Amino acid sequence: MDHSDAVKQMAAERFLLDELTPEEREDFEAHLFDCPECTLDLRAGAAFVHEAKIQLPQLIADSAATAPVERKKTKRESKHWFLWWRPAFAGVAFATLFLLGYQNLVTYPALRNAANQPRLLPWAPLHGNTRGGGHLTITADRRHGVALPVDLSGPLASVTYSSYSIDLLDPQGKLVWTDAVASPGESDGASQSLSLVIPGAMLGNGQYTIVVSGIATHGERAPISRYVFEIRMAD
Amino acid sequence: MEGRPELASSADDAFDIAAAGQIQKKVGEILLGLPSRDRQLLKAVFLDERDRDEVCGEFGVDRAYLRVLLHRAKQEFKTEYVKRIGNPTGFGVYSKKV
Repeated sequence: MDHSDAVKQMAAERFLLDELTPEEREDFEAHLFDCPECTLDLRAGAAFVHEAKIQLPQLIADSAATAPVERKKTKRESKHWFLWWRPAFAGVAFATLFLLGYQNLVTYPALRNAANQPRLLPWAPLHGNTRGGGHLTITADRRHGVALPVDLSGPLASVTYSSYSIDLLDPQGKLVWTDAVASPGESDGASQSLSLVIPGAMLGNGQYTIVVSGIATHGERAPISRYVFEIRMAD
Repeated sequence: MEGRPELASSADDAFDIAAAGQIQKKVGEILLGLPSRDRQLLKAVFLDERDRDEVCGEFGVDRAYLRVLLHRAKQEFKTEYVKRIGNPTGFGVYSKKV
């Protein structure tokens, strides 16, 4: 047996574990005379085993005494980990996830699709300055809404207006939408008519009013046309 | 540590006694660094002197595991051992058989 054989075979460890055959033991002992390194290895191993035998009983007894506390701690940590899965918290978390998923998978694609696609809307001709009863009734649905013509060239319109404002009033008379457009001017042949598209989500059963006002250059506002119509929702 | 056998040393001077104390401390550190199962395994093999195969079967390990466990502990201990004991050709050297 040479040094590399002794190392490869873990001769020192097997010697201490009493695993060497009589022949292997004799070879190893003979090798020790010529190998200070293996001699040191064996002595260190023997010293370790000697001291370990003294200390192990106390160490094992100490471990056994602390083990139940450690188990409890682990149970407490597990409980802490499972705090995230308590019904109340889990319910909120899942509801939030569901909402996010629904928005991203259903709502946003539908909105995107609606914005990017041409669509057909019922077009209802209005008559301005209607007095008394007999308003136009328009059937609308939530999906399509309604498109209404707005004429800027009413009898009270004037070419001196720099811009026009269009106000939409709901059945309660509350202003729910307003916008302004620049005056198209008669000379360049621009259209005096606009289309007001009201989405279905804004509509409900009842009487709506569109008020068109001219805005002079100095900011003075004057009503030009007033359209009153009845909305009847189909859905 | 009164009343406890000390590791034999080549001389009885204070330095050797201190060295023995350091060795005891090092062995304690190595044992504490082992999993509880490995400590119990070493106790069963070296202190209780139980049959190796029976112990390995009980702990669910093989003989190679036992050898590697001892090897690693020994290697970790050897550095401290050499530092404290000094000349490795001191006491306990095998004398050549004639």
